[in-house]
Amino acid sequence: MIRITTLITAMALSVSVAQAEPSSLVAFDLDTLRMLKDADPARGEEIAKKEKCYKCHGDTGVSDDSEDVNIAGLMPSYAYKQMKDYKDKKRDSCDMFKKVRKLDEQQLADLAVYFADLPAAKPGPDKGLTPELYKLIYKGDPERLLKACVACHGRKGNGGQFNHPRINGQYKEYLVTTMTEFKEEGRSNDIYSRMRYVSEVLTEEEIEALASYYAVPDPE
Amino acid sequence: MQDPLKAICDDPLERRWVWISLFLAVVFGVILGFYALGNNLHPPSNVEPIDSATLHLSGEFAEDNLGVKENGDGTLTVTMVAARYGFFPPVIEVPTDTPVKFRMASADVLHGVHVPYTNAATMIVPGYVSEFTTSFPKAGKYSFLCNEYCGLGHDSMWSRLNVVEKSAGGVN
Repeated sequence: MIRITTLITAMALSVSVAQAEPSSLVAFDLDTLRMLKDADPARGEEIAKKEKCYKCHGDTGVSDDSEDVNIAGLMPSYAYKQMKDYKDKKRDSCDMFKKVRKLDEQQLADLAVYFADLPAAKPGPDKGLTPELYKLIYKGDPERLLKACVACHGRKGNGGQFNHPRINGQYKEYLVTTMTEFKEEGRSNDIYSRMRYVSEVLTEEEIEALASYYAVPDPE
Repeated sequence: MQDPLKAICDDPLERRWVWISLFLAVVFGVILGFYALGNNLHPPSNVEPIDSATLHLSGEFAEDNLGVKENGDGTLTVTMVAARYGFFPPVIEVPTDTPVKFRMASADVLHGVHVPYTNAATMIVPGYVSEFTTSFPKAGKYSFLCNEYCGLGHDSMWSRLNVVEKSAGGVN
């Protein structure tokens, strides 16, 4: 009985220790910023070819599968953080972990600047905004502590600082999946739970509507 | 005596304006200096440096260490991070008439915090821990607002402070 109690206590402690881990080991300190500044897109292109990134992300960083993320035009700081999070197992993807586990931080930075230089997926025709959607995107909802999308992701969805990504070059399916993952805690590499807090209070209908608004047309 | 600015600027009118600007800067500096000395103004006493870029990795401002903690003497300590564009954790609950020490740090740029209808307010300077102690006599729903312009999303930088009756005893 004592052994069982000890085991349960140890398991509970290990869970609490695991939860105490930071959501990402990436810090945008001077060393990281210098590394990103000095990163070489030519080296990144070589690594991209060697690692066959095009298989999922397309020849130009724009995927031909609406489930996959378009990485062309993503901010280098954001793309670097995601790859480092995959490597550190802070973001869950077996395929991405296999691709990045042997790359060092400088190589990840080179890849990030290479894809950042490629043009983002072209937006489709202008979409209308309902008053509800306008409020969500430009004003937020203080009652629900919901930030306006533009606060972090920019007026046009081009992204903000460091880890506030571009959201206007993705397919709808990817955007819905990502926000749902944040909502259900399937993805938790957002420092200080920024996007988890937002996604938690968004309804499924609002997630659909926001994804439709920001998404580029699906691949043919 | 030759104008020392002549080496870098040929236009006499431009030099004159540079001198006026420098003169005004000195005048304002002297006024501020006398005002600060005369009124015994000084920087906040709690000068506590911290590395803002790595706040989330470990220590007091790591993600799982934020929120309300009860001290041994019945007072509370609230640990929060200000980062573009929010205060984390976004909801804080404290009881009325209880001393609450706020310890706040910025993860990026200069922020401020102000809780309207209370005397809770401070600047949150990157690289330092901001600390103040206050208590809230009236129960209610209050807002933390950023009052230092911190970027394009500044007007979305808010979070909530719930002050509950002390007898209700709810703290999270």
